[in-house]
Amino acid sequence: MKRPENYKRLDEALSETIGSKKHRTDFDHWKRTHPDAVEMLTSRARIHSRSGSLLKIRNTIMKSPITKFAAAAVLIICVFLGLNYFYDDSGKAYGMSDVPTLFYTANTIHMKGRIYFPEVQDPKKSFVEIEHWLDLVEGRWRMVVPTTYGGQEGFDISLDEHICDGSDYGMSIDHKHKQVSFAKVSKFHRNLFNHRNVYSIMQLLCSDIEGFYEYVKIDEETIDGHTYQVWEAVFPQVVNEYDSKVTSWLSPKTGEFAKAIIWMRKAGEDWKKKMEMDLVERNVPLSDEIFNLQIPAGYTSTNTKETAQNKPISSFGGGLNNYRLWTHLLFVLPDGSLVLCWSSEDTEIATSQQELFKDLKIGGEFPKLPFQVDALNVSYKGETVTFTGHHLAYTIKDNKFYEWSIYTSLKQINPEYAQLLTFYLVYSDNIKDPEIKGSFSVGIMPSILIKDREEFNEIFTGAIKELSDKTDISQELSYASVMQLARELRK
Amino acid sequence: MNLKSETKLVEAARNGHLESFGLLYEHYYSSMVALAYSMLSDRQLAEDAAQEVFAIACRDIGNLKSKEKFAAWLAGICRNISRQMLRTKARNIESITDEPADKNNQREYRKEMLRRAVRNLQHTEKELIVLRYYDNLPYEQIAEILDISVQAVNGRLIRTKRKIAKYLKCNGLTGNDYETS
Repeated sequence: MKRPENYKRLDEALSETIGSKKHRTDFDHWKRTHPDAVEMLTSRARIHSRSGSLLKIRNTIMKSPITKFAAAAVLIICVFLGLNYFYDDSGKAYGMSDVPTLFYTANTIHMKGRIYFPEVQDPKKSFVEIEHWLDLVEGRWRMVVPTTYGGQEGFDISLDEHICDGSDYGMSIDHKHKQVSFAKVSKFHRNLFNHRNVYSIMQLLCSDIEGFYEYVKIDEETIDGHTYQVWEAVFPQVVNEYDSKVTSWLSPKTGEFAKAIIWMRKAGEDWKKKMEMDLVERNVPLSDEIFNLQIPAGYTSTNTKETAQNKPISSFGGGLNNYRLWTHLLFVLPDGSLVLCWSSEDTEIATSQQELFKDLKIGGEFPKLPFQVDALNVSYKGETVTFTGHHLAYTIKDNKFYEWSIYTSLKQINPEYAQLLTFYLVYSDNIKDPEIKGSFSVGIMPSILIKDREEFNEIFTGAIKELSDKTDISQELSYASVMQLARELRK
Repeated sequence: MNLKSETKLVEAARNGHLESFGLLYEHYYSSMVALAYSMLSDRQLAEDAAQEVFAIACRDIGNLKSKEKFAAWLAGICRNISRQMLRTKARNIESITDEPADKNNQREYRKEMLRRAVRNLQHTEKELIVLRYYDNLPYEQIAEILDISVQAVNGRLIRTKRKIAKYLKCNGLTGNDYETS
């Protein structure tokens, strides 16, 4: 009988002779070196958007428009079938659960409407007009936002504007005092603001951002010849003692809003309008004029571009006595694991923390700072999911030490959904008693979804550089290494 | 990446979605380098060719008729670019002749003979071998790129390896060197 052919040794020899080291597929680098090709491709999106086609992207797991159950069912089916990416050009109806994806993937967003102050008696001051323009491709924005003033003159409302023209500078306009100020806005900041601005816009459309999955369809209306489905969701006591309700008119055909209204009420009272957006556009052309950094006539400037300072990264946190715990940035990685940048310090003793960060191991214990963030909890489908933390890296900027910790959970949460959730810090107090655990929300700081290697290299690495005096990044913080660590920690 | 998800990415890329194109780039970059290397026999040139493949794909993706055949379409672009580069290379380098292999260094000698065996293959056979061994591509992806079935990949690989083994045997490399066991 003829023996079956076995080319094991030949296979090995061919691999050794022909084989190459694994190629580094750096799409980011390719984009930089082929701007014309990129422009050619992306220009197709602009044409496509204008023609009213439906552009959607990958990972749109939450397809079902109506209930959490339907959404969960779709998620399970998708995971089961191993479908990683979705693109729907079949004319499938859009629902509210599609809204986060539609906005996070838009090229541009333009919104106009009013914010009401029902507690103000003077009808002239009972609302302000606001308008936002976001160019997410070029990293430009102009946001008109209300500012309220109290004091001896009584309640007053004015408008501020924040503008960035896509360059390294931004300008804020204080219309009450007719003053402008400039700030430096790095590329990382533009990415960060892009994300946070979209998050703010979605808050304007949906009060409680997690609530996109809570809506029910209540009606259908025709406005200017187009059919819109009316969706409604009620969020009890989202802000203080007020309940809120959101009514949205969404086109099932295009995913466009005709309008959205947020209502608020105290228990036992009637609903009052808090916000009304009657122009919500995605993927519309925005002229350069909108993002002009010219000082308006009659306004003075507190500084110039030359003297402008870097825009700081916002920090949130709390403390006890002279000990503080700050959270700076929260990232959701493509596999659903989390990275939180935090710091903790004794505000009265200005000694270096270098000793505490010595000999730390990646994937090991945290530095013994006054407070430490042991875990992040989140409420997901009626149960609390705990993401357990480990040390990933630390950075030093201006003598301040920042801990970067990675948090993983055996329970998988779709990253697209996770970015909308409110996480709670579980911290321990190393000064008083590490065994006593406390908790507070980091929901005020929207998490930033890192969708892929490209975004990791740009946004996540950009963040690390931003909070570091060094300009280089260690190999342990490469995309592959961090994802591998997350996999190992989940085991 | 399965065919269904890839088709959706291709459709999104056709509509100008850069991120989707990026995922396709990441998925196929190595195989395009391998394919170009099978023609150019120069790793740096092969990388340059692969980069160019995606630039042309950006430009022409709207002309792609069958979304399911993206890999084969990409491979077609890659072959064209490699041919052009080969012509340029041929103009720049007057002649390339095989150096006599050093029989005293058995390891290097075996490697050199193996390289020659691959060079002597027909073009389609060479493509197949390089795709498989350059970056250890799975049969499924090779099948997509060459637009043939996985079974055909398997069959052709066996036949080609048999041919290589025969070439080596004719050149005195038998027994413990590469023959089948």
